[in-house]
Amino acid sequence: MPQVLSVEGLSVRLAARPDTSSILDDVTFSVEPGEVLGIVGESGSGKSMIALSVMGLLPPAVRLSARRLSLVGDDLAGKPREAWRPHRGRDVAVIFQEPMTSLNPVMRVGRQIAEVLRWRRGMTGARARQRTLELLEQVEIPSPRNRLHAYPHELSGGMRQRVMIAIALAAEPKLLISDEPTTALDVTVQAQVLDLLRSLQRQTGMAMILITHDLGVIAEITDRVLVLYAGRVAEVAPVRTIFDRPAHPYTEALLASMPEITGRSHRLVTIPGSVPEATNMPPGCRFAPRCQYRRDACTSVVPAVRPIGDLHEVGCIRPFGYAQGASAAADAAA
Amino acid sequence: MSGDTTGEILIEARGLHKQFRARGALPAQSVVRAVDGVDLAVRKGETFGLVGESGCGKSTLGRLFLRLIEPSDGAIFHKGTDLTRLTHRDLRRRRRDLQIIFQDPFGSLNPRKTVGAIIAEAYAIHALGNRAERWRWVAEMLDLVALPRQAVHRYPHEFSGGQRQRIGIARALALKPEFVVCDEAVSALDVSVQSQIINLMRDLQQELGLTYLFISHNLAVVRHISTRIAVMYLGRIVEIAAPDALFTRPMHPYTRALLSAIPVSHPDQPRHRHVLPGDVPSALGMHIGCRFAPRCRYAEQRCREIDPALTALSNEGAVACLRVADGTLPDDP
Repeated sequence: MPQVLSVEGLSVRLAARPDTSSILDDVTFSVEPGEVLGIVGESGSGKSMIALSVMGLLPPAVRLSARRLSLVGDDLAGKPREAWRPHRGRDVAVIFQEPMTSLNPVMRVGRQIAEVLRWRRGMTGARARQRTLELLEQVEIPSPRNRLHAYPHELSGGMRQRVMIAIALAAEPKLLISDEPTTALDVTVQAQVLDLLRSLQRQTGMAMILITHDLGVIAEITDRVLVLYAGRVAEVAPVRTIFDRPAHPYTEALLASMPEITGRSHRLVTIPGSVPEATNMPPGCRFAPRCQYRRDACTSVVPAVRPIGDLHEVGCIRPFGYAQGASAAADAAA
Repeated sequence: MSGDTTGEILIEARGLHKQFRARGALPAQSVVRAVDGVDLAVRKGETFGLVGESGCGKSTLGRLFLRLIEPSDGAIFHKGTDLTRLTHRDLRRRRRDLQIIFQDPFGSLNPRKTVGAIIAEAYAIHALGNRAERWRWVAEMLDLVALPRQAVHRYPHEFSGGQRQRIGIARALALKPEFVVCDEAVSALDVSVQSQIINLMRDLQQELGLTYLFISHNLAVVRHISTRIAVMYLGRIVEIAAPDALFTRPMHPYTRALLSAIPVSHPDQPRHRHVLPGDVPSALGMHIGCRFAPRCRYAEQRCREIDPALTALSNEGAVACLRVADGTLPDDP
């Protein structure tokens, strides 16, 4: 089966200041049918820009360039925004962090779902109504028949996010992009929504990109992980590899700075400094100023993202730098 | 884990209630019982963690502790004095010892004041020191939170989120308080910066002998930093325990469900998830019986009729559950 999404050399920069460093710089990744790709990064890493780029929804203030941006086999790189229109909703759908701002506040939720069915599936009348009800049942909204007529403000945060998921699923997309879908929710509601997303993804076989800052959410639901730092790919690997054998110093530090819910209380590992601003990116490796394994070359050479193992790619000139003796093994693998 | 705990109680809430009038609600339900009968004693030198989901009343409780809002009923004792009975003048004096750090390092710092002015304001309000002394103290505070001294003349927007939180901490600690309420103090920060601030807060606690009430929805952070933890649900404390006891052997059915909902920290970690039905109900109106009973898988008829009191256990913990109290609560499957 062909890839659902294939992105090569994606860069996004401010239109007004194209000379300054890019918000996204030469990002390459793909999504296979039926897989869940996690994209993890801190604020300012550009992770939401990836979602907007794939959806063709970038704000006018930024410019996208890419060697390839292929959505279900249709290469949209260099094409105008209109080229995305037939794909949006039908092939790729998105849910955002805050459902209240994504839903129409003056339209009943049933109609908001039915609208997608009408425009994307050509369903009207009783058929659309029936399908809307099924979708609300599918996202496990209690007493769905009554909820058809509810306005978004009458629903709780968790229920609204379920409605958003129902809208996203209405057109049966091949790829669902979830941008921080549970960040605004309480932990018990987050658990409900993550369980729902995972079971829906398995039922429908759709592919999913899950964007989050939370490594716990990554561990819960993803198959493969892309670690993004300051607009560049730091590391891509299967989820277990990321947790067990992270090769990029940033991935390692990120994992170490999480307070352990299971472990004993010890002093937390910290990463000095903070994520650089898009207008003030350091030369060379963008993580170098905060990296404890930094060498002179790191501050001048932009590290290429290269494979170091099975499905494992790293953007570091010295992967596994933190593990003594492991760099030789990594070199051998490369 | 934190500073020395002598066991001496520093600040204590007794029978604390806070009701808000809800706008646009039906008359019968027009009262939100945000904090609905809380007794809580914080010991000198400890970090008391307060966890719960949105709407449980944890932030309201934190503000009540400092009397930033007036309680509807109950008392707050600080070193033998009931804060609720102090005049505003006496309360202001007392506030030198009682401070708060807020979640949002963007919204809680005056954007039109320099960092120096923000920190020095505390000295001006309490009429402490002359101009030269105040600037020297500000410089000391900046050193304490590891900000460059040049920050004095800069404005909050020139700093990153983590640095702004350092400014907020410097402001809260400027008067060398004893007790600091940390209301979601690290929740808005990225993981890598969050760990810097957590370490800083622990260092400052050691150095200055601070007592923290650490309010957060982030259970991993609370476990990491606290000496004792209270779990809140709908305006009530349902369980108090030491961190290890709480996380390895939670007693209250709500605590169990809450902990089981935490995302795993490794993809191979087994999930024993008990997903709670529905959302946290609203705190509007009256409650009869246990507030958690409508969502509790172990609720019996009596749970819907009798309001369970927070009852001390043998291990220094306390639980508000009828079935824990009489030993009939089964283990989770």
